[in-house]
Amino acid sequence: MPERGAVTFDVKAYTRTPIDLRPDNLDLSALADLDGPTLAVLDYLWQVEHGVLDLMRDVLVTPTHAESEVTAFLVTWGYEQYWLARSLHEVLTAHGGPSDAGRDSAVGVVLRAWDERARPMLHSVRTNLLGEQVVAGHLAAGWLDTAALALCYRRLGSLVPACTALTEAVLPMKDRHLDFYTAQLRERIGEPAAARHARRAASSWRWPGTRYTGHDAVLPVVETLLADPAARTDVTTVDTRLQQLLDVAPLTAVRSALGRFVR
Amino acid sequence: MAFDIDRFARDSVRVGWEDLDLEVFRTDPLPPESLRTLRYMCDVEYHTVCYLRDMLVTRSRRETEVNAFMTMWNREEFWHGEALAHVLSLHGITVSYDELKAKRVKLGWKDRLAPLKQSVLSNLVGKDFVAVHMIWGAVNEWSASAAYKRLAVLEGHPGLAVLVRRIAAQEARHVAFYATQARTRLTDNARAQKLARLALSTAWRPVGSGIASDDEVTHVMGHLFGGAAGRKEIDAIDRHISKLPGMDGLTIVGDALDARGIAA
Ligand SMILES: [Fe+2]
Ligand SMILES: [Fe+2]
Repeated sequence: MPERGAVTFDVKAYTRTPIDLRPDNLDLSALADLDGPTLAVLDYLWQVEHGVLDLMRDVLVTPTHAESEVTAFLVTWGYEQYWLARSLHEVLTAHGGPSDAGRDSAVGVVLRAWDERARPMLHSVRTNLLGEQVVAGHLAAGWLDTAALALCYRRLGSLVPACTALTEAVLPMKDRHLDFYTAQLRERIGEPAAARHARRAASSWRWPGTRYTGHDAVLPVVETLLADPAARTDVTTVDTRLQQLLDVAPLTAVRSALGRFVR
Repeated sequence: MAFDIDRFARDSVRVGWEDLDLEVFRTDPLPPESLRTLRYMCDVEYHTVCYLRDMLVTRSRRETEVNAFMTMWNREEFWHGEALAHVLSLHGITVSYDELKAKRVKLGWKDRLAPLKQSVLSNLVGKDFVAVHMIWGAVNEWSASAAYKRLAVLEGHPGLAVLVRRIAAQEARHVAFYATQARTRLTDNARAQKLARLALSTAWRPVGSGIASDDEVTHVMGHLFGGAAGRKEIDAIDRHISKLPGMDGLTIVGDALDARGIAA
């Protein structure tokens, strides 16, 4: 992962130049004949990428909704994510459709019901009491989610040549999202409360998509993309960047999250 | 009336103004009363994301086709805000992210508790609450559409008229979505009808009432909908509403004008 030196991020410019990855804008013909493990990875990516509104809900019920710069970002981010998810869906459809989307684990079923009914309320009350700095926690989690998915796309592109065109198109989008989170975090992290929220969010961070489906959902990623020792450098790079960003030496969020289901 | 969500998503674009000669405002500015109205509408458009939030904590979100609409709709409304902010900036009026933030923060607990209220309500009332959201959205989109159309008529300024007609065309598509959804969900559902009727007749206020002061609301309503021609638009909205299942005889928008002493 290249080191990026973004200190400022021009949200206005970003909203004006979304990366539109709708099926018509991509050449998906190279993806006409994929093997099972690759499809499992794409299926995982689709499951995670298309849940954008869930994430938006969780952010908007908190004081973060007042952060008009963040919401301006989210408007465009949601648009980009929507079309990326549609394209992934189209690839899966050409191969017989995505796997059963309702495959929540037993715990996941309970969690999802909780998230849709009680959690937004409690979350809203709790974070409103905590105040404005909770946004730093969202930004850190957003950074980690994006970095983890970017890692997946990068590995997928290098392991499966048929996917390279797709991942090359997706990565600049992910990098731009990372630049936004980075710039926002740098701006806020001087505030002790913000730093605390960010570090707490990073140390309790879970690999994206595991909340409802459990660790099984991420097995394709672990087995196909990250089992190779060559992936270790990439994982370490993400953790190192996060350490620098949040100024915490011992934090290895990505390695720890992976460790939870590698064993 | 069917609404093709896939097509809506595919065709959804941000409203453009690059081809319009808006620089002319620098030498030929809009009058103060129009700027005041534009400022109000700009705030309402930017505020859509908070309205989206309220929808996301209710059950409407669970339905996947609704998700596609919400994503595109949210972005279109954001760009309505950007377009109006651009017009205002040419008049030396800046609408910055910081200012928008200050406004949302100032809304305070009322706004912060909104998700809680929505969530409790939707859990209590269940699926029928979605119908309320949809008819509420329809009324607001009808109002927005009428407001832009009136503005285009009132302001002879050529640059502005074209821009606000473009916006009005998008609002008309939003109307189609919400009205279609509302009709479907209200049809043969007496409970949802009762709930929607109750919500509209007791809780509905003109769009923007939550974010702007009473004086501003009265100014904008009077500016756009005062007089016979304005009232004709308002009556049309009330007629649309009353044609939805169970809404017979409602005149909430006209009543809101009467309550503010805005003469027909
Ligand atoms: Fe609008
Ligand atoms: Fe609209």
